[in-house]
Amino acid sequence: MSLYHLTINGKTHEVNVINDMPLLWILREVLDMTGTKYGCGMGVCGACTVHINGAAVRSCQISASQCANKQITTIEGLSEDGSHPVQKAWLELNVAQCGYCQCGQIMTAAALLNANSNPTDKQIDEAMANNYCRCGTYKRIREAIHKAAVLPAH
Amino acid sequence: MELTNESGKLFIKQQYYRHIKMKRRDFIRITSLYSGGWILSAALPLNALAQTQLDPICFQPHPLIKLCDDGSIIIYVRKQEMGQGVSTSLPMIVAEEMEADWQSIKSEIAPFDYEKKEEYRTIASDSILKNWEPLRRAGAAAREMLMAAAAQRWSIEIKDCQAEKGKIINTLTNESVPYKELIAPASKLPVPETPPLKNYKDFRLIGKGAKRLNALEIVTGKTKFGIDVKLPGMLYALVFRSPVYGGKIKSYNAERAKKIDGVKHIVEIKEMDARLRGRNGIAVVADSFWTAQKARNVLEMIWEDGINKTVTSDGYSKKLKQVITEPPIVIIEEKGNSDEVFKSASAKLEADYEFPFLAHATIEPPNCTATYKDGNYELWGGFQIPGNVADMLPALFGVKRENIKINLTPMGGGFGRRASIDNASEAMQIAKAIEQPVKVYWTRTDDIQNDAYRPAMYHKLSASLNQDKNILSWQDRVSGTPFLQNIARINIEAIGGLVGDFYYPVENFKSSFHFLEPPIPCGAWRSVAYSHNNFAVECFVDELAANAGIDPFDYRLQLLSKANGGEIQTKLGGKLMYSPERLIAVLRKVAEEIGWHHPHPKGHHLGIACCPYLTAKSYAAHAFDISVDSKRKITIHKVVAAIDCGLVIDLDGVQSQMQGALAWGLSAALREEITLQHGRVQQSNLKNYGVLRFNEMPAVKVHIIDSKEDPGSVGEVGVPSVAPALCNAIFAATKYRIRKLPISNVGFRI
Repeated sequence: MSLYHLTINGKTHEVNVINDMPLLWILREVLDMTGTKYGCGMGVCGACTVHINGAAVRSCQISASQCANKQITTIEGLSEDGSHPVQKAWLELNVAQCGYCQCGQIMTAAALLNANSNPTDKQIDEAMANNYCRCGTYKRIREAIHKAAVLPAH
Repeated sequence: MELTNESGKLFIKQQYYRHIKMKRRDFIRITSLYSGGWILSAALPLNALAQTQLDPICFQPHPLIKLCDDGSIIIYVRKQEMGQGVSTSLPMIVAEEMEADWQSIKSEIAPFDYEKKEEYRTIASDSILKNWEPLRRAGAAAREMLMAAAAQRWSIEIKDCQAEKGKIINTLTNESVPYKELIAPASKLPVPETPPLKNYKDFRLIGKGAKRLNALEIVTGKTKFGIDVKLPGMLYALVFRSPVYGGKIKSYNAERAKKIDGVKHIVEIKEMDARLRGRNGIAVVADSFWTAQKARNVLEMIWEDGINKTVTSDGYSKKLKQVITEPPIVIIEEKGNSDEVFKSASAKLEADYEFPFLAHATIEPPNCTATYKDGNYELWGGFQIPGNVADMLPALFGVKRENIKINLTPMGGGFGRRASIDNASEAMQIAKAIEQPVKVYWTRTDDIQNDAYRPAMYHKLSASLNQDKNILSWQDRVSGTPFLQNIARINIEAIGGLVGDFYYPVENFKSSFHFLEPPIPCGAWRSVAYSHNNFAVECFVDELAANAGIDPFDYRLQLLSKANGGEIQTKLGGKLMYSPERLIAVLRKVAEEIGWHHPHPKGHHLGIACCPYLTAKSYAAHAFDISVDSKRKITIHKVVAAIDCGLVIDLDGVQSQMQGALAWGLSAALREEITLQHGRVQQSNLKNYGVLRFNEMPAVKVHIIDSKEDPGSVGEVGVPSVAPALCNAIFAATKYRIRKLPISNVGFRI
């Protein structure tokens, strides 16, 4: 067990966890931030995506020690009220079906738009290729990313 | 007002009215815990929540409708939400008749009520079918009570009142009063027994797109799925299950596992009952998922693998082909004398089609949380058939039904997977052993390797033809297992699309089922038996068209123009309505939209297929426009889909379901396959199971037929015709007939 200080959504959290416990489980089981989802634990499905210093990272593949002195953003911190342009676009286009993968999709999409404010279809497909959705919302997600790109920042 | 009985005929239970009239004398005060705290709302009795003056005053004109004086209207949904949209579409029906303002509607999961267990059963695409009438009446009754209350207030007649968007208008004076101000007087009025229903032409919500309820919670990460449940003092469990179905533990050594910091208990798990689809195993219970997983990795297990230990996919495939030559366990349908006609015919065509075991791979893996104390269990999880938990588990655990309390959560995908209750059985066994709250997780690999699979199936189609290449006889032999995995329960639902008269009319017809015990557990999978039945029929009819030298669309229309519609009495019991006209309409629509009869660019080839999904009272068709290069790489240029699901409730919801159905059907057609070696499932994750990815999803244009027929359901209807339409397009492009799915087996890919 080791003590870590993690900066999540602008707040510092002190956690005492086993050294190699992935950030995903720290968020979900220790800090009760369950918006970040477990889907595979192998870095394949993208359901656990968070931002570390603004870039999309699979939280199941990164441990607390790797997050030291970095800004972690989870879906709970993207906006509390759904006012982030990506969330607004998701609402506008009724993207979600079951909704389970959508927090990961939204985090990946928001990171893409951070890096590229007006991505092409091809760039979106590349950025989102490792986010699985079993309900088949892929095309609505692509449309929503285009929509979010033209919405004003919150 | 409860309006259904077992035969589905509507009637009104007087007893219920008495109950409501008693309750109505008091307003029910509800704290914010009730509307916001989903666990508490299920756990605490209503009267325990009457606390402060600040709470809204509410009344319930119906168990599923609650109007509050803060302007909110809560509609409880008994069907389970798993992405198919019932938490929006069912409230839309109520809100329409209530003339409620959609903005004021909140949708909540109705706490499980065993007496109504059939209404909670969320399978077979029947949510809209079964709820349309009862929910309309419920909403209309509430509206009538509000109108009567307003009429009293203004001392006018009800006919001079009009309900509109959450308020009652006095048509004599143009005054209006919002519903929230009518709650007290309305709650004192009798519930009308036969409230008038709205005319379809006056619908404001139904048939239009509505913003999905609960979407804000989803995009902000606030939705609590089963896997997100947390109880005080809860531990976490992973189970090392028998890698071979039916295997037993010979011996095990958990010493190393127990030494890991944070490991609390080792619990033996029993299969208990074959209907649960569970497996024997050892549960490691720890203070975190991560520790449980580490400990499970060092469990030393020695198994007695049992009868399935040598099973391979190839071996099972050979058996499927063998049993189909033996006498069937049941003739599904028979007309005329297809055996004799086939024997004596000069021209014949035969084809066989093979289908693999398929997994569900819901992105939320299976899980369940349970507590045990003093002989009482409490469960949290997503259950498509919560009644099965209540019916099957008490006897197995030696308790009474009331000793198991079930809390329902939204599901991160269902598709039939959560009709199995292996998760509940495991969580309860662990909770009993440790007497502490526990959540049992499935890892992704656990999920892929311990599913209740779409059965592997084999179809042998044969037809005899006259000189003009018209069909004289048609036979469809099927081998495998019905998805209910019980030969005593072969019925319409289990057999799927092969019901009633064959939907392309043939004088001499026979379909038969040849049973083979499955080596892994089987269960419902989105579109169940339609998923293979429809493929076999739609590909074979394409083969017959090619054989006759007739365009496959024209050929289908020629056959369907001779079909008789109406009620079909199926041989296996049950009646179904069939309309060849509605099937023709969806076929025509996709043909028109794909440009079937127009010249298309060089190298583009078209394929078409249709599916009468009669148990859901809906019809669908797909057409593909593709190119295939010399290395069998497919480029999908365009996909069009059409659906006639009768009167549409949630227009955008139907679009969503059809888009999702394309992803589901295409994913299975392209790559999905569960294979076995030494009885063990070979796939372990989303990638090697082949789930369709973001960049592979083709655009689809969905056409919804304008219809005033009774509303049918949608969740599964769009799946079956995807794969045959694609494979018929592959034939058009390459002259190669796909006889075995997935198409990756013969090198085709996108």
